[in-house]
Amino acid sequence: MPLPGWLQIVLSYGKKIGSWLLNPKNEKDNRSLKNIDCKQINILSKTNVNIIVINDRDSGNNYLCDINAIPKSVIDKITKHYELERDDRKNQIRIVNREFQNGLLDYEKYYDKKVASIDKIFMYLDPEYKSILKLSAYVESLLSKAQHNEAQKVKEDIGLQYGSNGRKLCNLYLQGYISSMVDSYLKDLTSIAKFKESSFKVYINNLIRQIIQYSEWIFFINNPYKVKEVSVKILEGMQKGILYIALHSAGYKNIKTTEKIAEEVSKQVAKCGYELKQDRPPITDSLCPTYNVFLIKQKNKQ
Amino acid sequence: MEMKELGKKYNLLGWEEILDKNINIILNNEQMELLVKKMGCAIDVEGFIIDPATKERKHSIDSAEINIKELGAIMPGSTVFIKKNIASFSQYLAEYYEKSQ
Repeated sequence: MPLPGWLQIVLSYGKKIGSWLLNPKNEKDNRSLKNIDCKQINILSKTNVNIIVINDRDSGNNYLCDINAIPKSVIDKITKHYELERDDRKNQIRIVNREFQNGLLDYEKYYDKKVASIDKIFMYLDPEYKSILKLSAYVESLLSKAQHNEAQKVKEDIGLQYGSNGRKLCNLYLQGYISSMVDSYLKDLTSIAKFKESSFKVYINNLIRQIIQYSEWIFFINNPYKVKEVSVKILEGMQKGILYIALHSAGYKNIKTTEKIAEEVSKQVAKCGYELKQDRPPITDSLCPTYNVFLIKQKNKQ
Repeated sequence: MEMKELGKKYNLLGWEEILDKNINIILNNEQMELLVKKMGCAIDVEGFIIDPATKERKHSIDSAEINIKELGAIMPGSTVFIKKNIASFSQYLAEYYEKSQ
């Protein structure tokens, strides 16, 4: 999208802008600068590599200035601003890459909202788990709006930042494990958390570590899982007496794979003292069928 | 057009009017590098951000060295380098703003 005419005029001023910050007086032009999108900022920076955008996050106003003309005293003030330890988001100067600007704004708006599934435990979580679960909830919200590409990108970012444990926890959240844990298992415990906050903090974070740990026995069937490979792993788990083994699949191809695995392991289920349960939830809004298999160790059996 | 003419069509603000507000300074990759250098850091031959005095590489919030091409944002707290990765920014929010949650 080309830059509007009035902005072309600003760019032609070049060095005459000096150390000023510019904002159009005309309401229409002001709105146009307020709504300047990333593509336009891209064109702007290619047209004149010195002109940058300063965004006032509270008013939403944007200002233009010449990066090479920023006074040294201003750079010193910005540098000093960054040297201070801070724990609040008031009066905060941020330096943001334009490629990252929109994603950052969208996510921060989401981060500040309460998420019902984790609200009861959020304040007790270690920062890493706070971050992963909030990101997971964000993925879920993107999926609910059919923004599959954006959701996949966030999942990849979770993997890059937190590794396989982060990916596992995200998948467990998306499958509803965390919300069920909060709603049922932790329902009564959170009421005593206020009186024993530090103990509860230790407890809840250890619990999440265990869930991730045992997630070795929770399979999210996806390419390139092979029937034989997974069946052998499950049989190994049953022989070890693992209390809970689960398979989750979405999409016709993955469901077929899971059905074959379930057929393979079902031959050993009774012998190893397990119960096999199957679950085919109704087709979701994303038009993707799902199929889940649960192997539960029976008490007082083998 | 002279600055007088410019002043008729545009509000001209000084930096002191905006430095105490919540602002984003939005830059492209080259401009990020320019401002990082103006703020006292340097870039080594492989593109990693370094302390010019000690030559030690700076780290992002995930404790890994950070290349200028990977730089998504710089946040105060102090001087936290965020990669172009939403999870990196999320970790920053979770780590630095616990009290606001």
